[in-house]
Amino acid sequence: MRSKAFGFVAFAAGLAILVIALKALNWFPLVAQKDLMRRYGDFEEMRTALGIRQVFVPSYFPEEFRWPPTGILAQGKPYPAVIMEFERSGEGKAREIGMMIYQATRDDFSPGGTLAISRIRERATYPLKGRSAILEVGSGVKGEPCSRISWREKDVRITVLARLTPFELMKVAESMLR
Amino acid sequence: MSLSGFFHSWPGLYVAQAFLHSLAASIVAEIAIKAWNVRDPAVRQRVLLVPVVAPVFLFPLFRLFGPERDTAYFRMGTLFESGRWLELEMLGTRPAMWGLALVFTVTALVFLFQELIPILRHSLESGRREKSAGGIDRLEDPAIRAMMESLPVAPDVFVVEDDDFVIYSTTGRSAAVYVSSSLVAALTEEELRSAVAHEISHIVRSRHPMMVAAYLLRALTFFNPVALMEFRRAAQEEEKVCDAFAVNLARNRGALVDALRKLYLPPEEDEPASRPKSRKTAMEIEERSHRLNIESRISRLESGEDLDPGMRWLAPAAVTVAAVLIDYYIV
Repeated sequence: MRSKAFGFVAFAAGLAILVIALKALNWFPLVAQKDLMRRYGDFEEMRTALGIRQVFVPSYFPEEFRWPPTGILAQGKPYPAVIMEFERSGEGKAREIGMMIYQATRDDFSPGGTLAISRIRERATYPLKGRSAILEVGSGVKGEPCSRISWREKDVRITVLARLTPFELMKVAESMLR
Repeated sequence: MSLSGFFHSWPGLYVAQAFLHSLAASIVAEIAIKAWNVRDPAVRQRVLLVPVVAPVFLFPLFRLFGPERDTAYFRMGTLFESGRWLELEMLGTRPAMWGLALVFTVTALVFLFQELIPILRHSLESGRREKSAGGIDRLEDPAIRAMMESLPVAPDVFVVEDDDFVIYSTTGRSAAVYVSSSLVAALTEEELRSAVAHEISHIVRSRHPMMVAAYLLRALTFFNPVALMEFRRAAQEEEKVCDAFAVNLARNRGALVDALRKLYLPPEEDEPASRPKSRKTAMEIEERSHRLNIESRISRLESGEDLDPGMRWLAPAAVTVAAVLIDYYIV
């Protein structure tokens, strides 16, 4: 019985060493290769590191959000992708990501995270300044209103996902295009 | 399709993740064997089969029940992301990607030439041999018949005219044990019963659905070097499991030890000098490894190690749970 209990301790210790080793192995390529997915302090730093010239950004922001993004994640390999996170700002607002704008050369790119539409109520094609965009309206994980609009712009797919009404979301998306 | 394109496609992701999942699971299995000092061959076999079986299902199951594993945030915060290594560029090439592709190709060729073709050839030849064999006699031994009374199968035992020491069994509907006449002459009655009991246990266990399923799943991941090695280790444990079964059946531990010695550990002979050195070395390594395996079986039988029934399912269950949890975070 005692040896079995000691076995459990040894097993747990072995697993802990394995987890640490995996984390260390996972970290090494980040040091050796600069264009893997990582966080950047600002746009210039990201542009210099990855050479992604065209990043689509909005000129209109709803009241709760403001420029610059609170977080920027980007990668150059295996394909270019940029994620901009916007936290809600203002007195008494919980510091949580309320809007996410991402662009990637692949259509199936998905950032995931806490901001997501868990239930889609309506899905429609929407003409966005001459582009055909897909608008999805639904609710987030806590039941709050959540909308997403996505369209193809040259060689990238752009998506705006936010805890906003569809009307506000479309205003943000339209402000990203000339 | 480029190699990079393949590794980002569904089959490429499956192949790469199945390999990494079985690698992590095999480390977990090794930790469990060391931590609990697992000696029971049946338990060791179950533990060793986790890295063979689990990776076949994990990737599709994770995709079904954990679609968040594909997202950028999950991949950034996970334990190990294969894409980072696969995309790593050095001197204008991707060494990890090409290295992995090479490993998979070599393993697939090993599977083809060392397993699939020999198995097919063997089954064709044994069918032909059984039809054309001349000097075959049924071995009538009431003690062997009595031994099989409690078993779900009662295979026939045949003596084949042959000067070499050979004993083997065939499975399937017409399961049988074949012993060479020279071996029958060399073994005592008790030793022969024990040797036949060992072969009978192979026949009984070949009807065990777990082993059949494990073999088929192993064949599905023919590209996976870890599954290949772990399956071979589990197959070695099978001999020890059958030894234990044979001791229970024939009730004579010492006779099985003596039979093993006579059958597999003859006095070492001098090698012919004409054989090329590299071939000689390869054969020496193979023979040495075979000898070590037989010696380990003999030492296990001689020590009469008691089995720990408490560990029968505990260690395999702990390895399965830990491997699934860790593998979930290997993408």
